[in-house]
Formats: sequence, structure tokens, C-alpha cells
Amino acid sequence: MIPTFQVTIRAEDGQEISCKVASSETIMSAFDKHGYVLQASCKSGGCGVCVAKVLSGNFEYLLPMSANKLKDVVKGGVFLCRAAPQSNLTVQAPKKWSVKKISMFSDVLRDI
Amino acid sequence: MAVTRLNYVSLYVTDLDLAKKHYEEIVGLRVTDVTKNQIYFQSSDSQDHHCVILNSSDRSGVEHIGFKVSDPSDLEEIKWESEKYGLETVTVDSGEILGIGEGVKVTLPSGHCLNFFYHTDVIGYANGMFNPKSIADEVMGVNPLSHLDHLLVTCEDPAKTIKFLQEVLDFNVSEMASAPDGSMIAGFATVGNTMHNIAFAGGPNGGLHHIAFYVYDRADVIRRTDLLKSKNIPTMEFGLTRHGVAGVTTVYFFDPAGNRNEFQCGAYETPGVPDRVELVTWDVANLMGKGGFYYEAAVEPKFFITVS
Amino acid sequence: MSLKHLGINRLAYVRYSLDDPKLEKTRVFYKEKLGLMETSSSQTSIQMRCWHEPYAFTTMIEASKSPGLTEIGFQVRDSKDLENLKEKIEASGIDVLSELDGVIKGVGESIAFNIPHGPRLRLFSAMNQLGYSTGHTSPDWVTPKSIRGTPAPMFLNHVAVTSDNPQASVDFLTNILGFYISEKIVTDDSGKLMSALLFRMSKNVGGQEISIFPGPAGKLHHIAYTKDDASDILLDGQYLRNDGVNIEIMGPTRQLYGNTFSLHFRDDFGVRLELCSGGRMTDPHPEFKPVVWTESQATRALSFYDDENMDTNFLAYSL
Repeated sequence: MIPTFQVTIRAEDGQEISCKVASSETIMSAFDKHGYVLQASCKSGGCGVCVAKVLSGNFEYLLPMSANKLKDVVKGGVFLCRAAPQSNLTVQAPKKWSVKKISMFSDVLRDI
Repeated sequence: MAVTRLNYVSLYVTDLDLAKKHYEEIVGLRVTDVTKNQIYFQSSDSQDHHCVILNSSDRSGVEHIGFKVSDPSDLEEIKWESEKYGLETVTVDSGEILGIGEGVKVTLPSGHCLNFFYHTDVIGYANGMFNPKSIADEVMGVNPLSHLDHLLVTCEDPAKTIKFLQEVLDFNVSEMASAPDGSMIAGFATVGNTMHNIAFAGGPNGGLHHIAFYVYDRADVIRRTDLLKSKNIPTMEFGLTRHGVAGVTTVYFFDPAGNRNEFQCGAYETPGVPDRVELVTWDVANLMGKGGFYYEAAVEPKFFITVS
Repeated sequence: MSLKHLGINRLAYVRYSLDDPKLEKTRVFYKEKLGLMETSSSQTSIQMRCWHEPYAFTTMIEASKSPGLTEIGFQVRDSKDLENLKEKIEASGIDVLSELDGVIKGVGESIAFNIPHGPRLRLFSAMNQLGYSTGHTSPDWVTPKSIRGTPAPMFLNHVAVTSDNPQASVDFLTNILGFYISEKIVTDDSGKLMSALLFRMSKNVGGQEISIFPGPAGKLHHIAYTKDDASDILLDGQYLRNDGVNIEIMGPTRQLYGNTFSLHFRDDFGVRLELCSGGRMTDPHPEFKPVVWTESQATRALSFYDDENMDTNFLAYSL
């Protein structure tokens, strides 16, 4: 049974999103499955664009990270593209997420 | 006599197996040599031993860059002139880097290391050198690409390094972007007749913005963009686009270590010697608009800050 | 600093004459149908450039009752470079004519000579620059509106000429002028040289600036211009056909010899022209290895899509 943890991402404006993330999947792919697009660029542990600030909890990286970028990141930073939770985890996002548009068409009709 | 052109780039990757898969299957390069911690690749239509070297490391980014010279005596001259200029040089023994002869490594003011060398083993084109076949047997769903075309690297003071390249190594600058105060934000430098072999833009010293491969047709850029998206390879915003700077059609994407790659097509030619053609210049406003992405006329800041 | 790039650094122009007294037909064809831009003219001559080129001209056509290929121009580094090359050429036994600045409009002091069994070449170090037609400040690298709807090629790519002793012509070009060979055709039995593609540049649509084909000494075989890619050329073929231009029977085709995708067609005087894309990235380096074709494979190499119906007149010189 793969452990699953609650991961919460907080934006600067105080808004939060929260998902169950297995310890075998990256936070970014888990949130993507739930319809959230997190700030990212290379998604390969090499650029630092997705780095969030850890507010509480533990994580580990599922794939290698660039040491060059890790050293630039302030203690307590986490690359969301390759990190998986090892406990319940709360982080502060670098930039607010966007929501996947899955009901664009229905929304139009509903709002008429 | 002189530097001829860009020959290869040596990259750091954080996972050699993942990176091998990428450069073989997504980019479509041939593996030409392997050591314990390195893999050497060449494109189908380039004849020298390699155009990309991957080095297993704990980091991503550019390790060093190879440029060829047309006379063995150039190496001694480059060593002497670079040291006179105040730069560090290191002698490279023949075979220290597989497939090439002795060289001189020079550390530029930008922090990047350039290896100048005369000889490379010739492995020939994938189609053959004698009554060649038309297309390579292995085509990764798209036409093979032509060659490693250029790099864009970052440093704190692009003008300083470009000055060295111009004064000592006879590089030409084709286009340039400047800040309102006139200082150089980005300079596109070439020793051959393409628009640039290596470009320098503002950013951390020693940084890599991207390496670019040349494809024969813009239809190939389209097809390759289709394939990148279908294989979920991270691409930059807008996917396929055209740069206002140089007018080339392009798509950017990332290797599994986070090094940015590019496929581009565009025949832009330059005279190959300095000061023949008046410089083309870009101001910041235009660079951030149609200069970066011609169709969309808007550049996301992270296009610039994402550097490995 | 001896790390300077010396010697020929670019193919500069092709200059020929046509039996077109007022150059009216020439203007209609080259400007309105092909899409070159006129940069200067006199009663009996016209200079034109491609829209992406900053130089005074790359194609020069003069009116003459005895039409023919006049010369091919190449640019070198500076006057010292020119002087050195002059000595080298003379030492090889070839007569060199030194000419002053302005003998050809837009061209500085120059030297002219005939390559053995081949055409006249002119080397010079300075040429007028008009600047890019699309501008130098945050420019739009887009074909100017006035020539849209024509092939409007980007650059002069290469000039192909004939030689009655290809080996001798190629030896001179390589040994004296420092050209390298990207591809060549030799006979099946003895390996005798029949044709070669020669370069000094490392451009994207590269591999040749001057090419040698078998035939009478110094005639023009064809002139080629650069396009970005093959789809452009397919469209250009439509424009040319629609404009009544004579297109080579094999139509748009892959040409393995040179690794291009090309379209061959003729001007109103039978001069063979080519639009090409693809090519090879070349290294002007002594160890660069050429592709070798044997003669029996040459038709496949020249007309990959339909070698059986290939017109053997393809090898006939056109001017």
C-alpha cells in the first residue's frame, strides 16, 4: 500500500488548494490530475521556476535535481516538479496556480 | 589559420540514462561513443565524431563548448593570445575527449569554457559517404536533423566576452540587443556564415539558455513540435513560433536534466568576417515583443530567466 | 592577430550578358517573376540583389550581342589579402589583371583571372553596402511586400560552370584559392573527376559556392538562389508556372548531389536557374571529407524522384 499524504499549496493572497498525493508521484503531476496547473518551465529539476517554500512537512525527490539549482535555492525550498511527499506537506507557491479549463463549454451555457 | 565554426557542446545531465533516451529518440542523434560517465552523439548529417557530449553529473548546464580551427598552429596562438588577454587556459591531450585531437581550453570572462582543437575523427554521414542513400534508415518519426547550429549562454557582462571573441578570435557580431543606456543585453556572435554560433545574453555567469539543432524544413519544426507535445516533453509557451530576431522558425523544449533544446529552421547568412555588414540592433521593448516571438509579439519573462 | 579569416569569405556575385538590348525582358523576368531587387542600372547593365542581402548586388546582367558568362565575383578580407592571393595565382602560372576601384560599379580594387579550363573569376576586398532592405533596427525579417507572390529568394547560393578538364579546374580552386570539396562525381572505372561542389563558407543551405560540371571551358551551367525550405519551393514553382516560366521537366525534386531540395527553371534566354533549400553545413577545414558519387549513380543523385526520365540535356551548359 503506497503511502498517501495531504499536500496543501498556499498562494500569496492566502488562497489554498489541497490534494492527496502518493509518495510515488510528484506533487506537480498529482495536482495536474486534479486540474491545477502549477507554475513551471522545464519540469526536469533544472531551472528552479517551480520552487516553492516549505511551510511544514517532508518530501523527497523522485528524479535527480541539478545541484547547481539546488544550491541557489534558499533552505526550505522544494522543486515541485520532482518532489513527492513523505508526510503531510504545506508549501507556499512561487506564483499562483491556474485552473485547467475542463468545462469551458458548459460554463458558457450555464452563464447565459 | 582561424576558428572555423562551432563543433560540439558538452553538457552536464543529472541522469545519463534518461538523457540518452532523450537525445537518441526525441532529438534523433546517433550514439558514437560511450565511456563510464559519458555518451557522445552526432546528428545523421554531420560527419565529425560528435556534436553533443553528455556527462553524468549532479547538475545540469553546459560543461564546455568545442570549436574547430583550420590549422594546428592556431592552438599555440590561441593559448598565447588568451593568456596575454588575462584568461586561463588548459591544454587538452589528444584523446582526452574521445574522437578529437589535442586542444586548448580557454575560460571566457563569462565563465564558459571553450575547447579549440584541429582534428576530429570523421565518422561520416549516416547515409554514407560513397553513393549515399537518400534518407537514413532510422528516422524517429521525422526527418533527421542537419547539425548542431548554435548555443545561447548567459553571463553578467555579455559585451566583455564578445569583445574578447572579436578582438582575438575574429568572431563577427550579426545582431545585438541593447538596453536604453546602450549596454549590450544580448550579442549574437559567429565565425562562419550563419547568423550565430554562440550568443551571449544577460544572466548568471556560466549559464546555459539553450542549444539549438538545425532542421531542413519548417514543416519539420511543425512535425517535431507535434511529436514533442504527444510525448509530453515540456515545451516553452506557444510551442512553435518564429523569432523576430533572425527570422527563424523554432520550437523550444527541455531534456530530462532541464537543459533547454531548440529545433530551428532558417537560412539567414552572414559574410563570415567582421564589420562587413552593419549591425542589426534590437531595443528591449521590441526584443520582448516581436523580437522574441514574432507571431505572438509577447515574451514570458520565464523564457529568459529559465537557465541551466 | 593571425587568427584572422583570410582568403575568399563569400560568393559575391555572378555577372553575365544577355542579348537583350534595353534589358527590358531581363527586368520583367528577374524582378517581376523571380523577385530580385534592382539596386542600380545604366543603359546597358543592371545590378540586382536578393531581399535578405545587404550588398550592392549579387546578380549583374549586361546587354551584349555576344551573350555569355562574364565572371564570378568573390570577396576577400582586405587589400593585403588581395595582394597575397594575386602573388599566389601568378606564381601558379595564371595571368592576373589588376583593376582599380570602380571598374565595376560598387566594387573596389580587384583582380581578375581565368581559372584553368574554367571561367573568369574576380576577387575584391571592398563592395558597397546598401544595408538590409528590411532595416537594421528591430527589423521584420519578412519578404518585402513589393515582391511577395514571387520566389523572392534570400541569397545567391552557388554558380555552376563547365570545364573541359574538371580535375585541373578543381585543383586550382583547391590548391590556389583554398576551396574545399563537399561532394564530387568520379568515373566508375578509373575514379577520374567529372564534377565537384566546392565551398569556402559554412552557411545553412551550404555545400557549394562554385560547382564544376563537364563541358566546354568556362560556360555557365546554372545559377542557384537560397530559399528557407522545400515547401517554399513548391509554392514558388506555382508562381513561376503561373507567370509562364519554363520549368525543368523533373519539377521540384530532391537532389542528393548537394543534399538539396531544388527547382530548376529558365529565364527568357535559356539561362538555367535554381531555387534550392536544405544543403549541408560545411566546415572550411582541411580534414573535411567530401561525399563521393560514381558516374553511374549520378542521375539518381541529380534527379532522385525520377532518374529514368531525366533529360540528359541537363548537363548542357545554358549560357
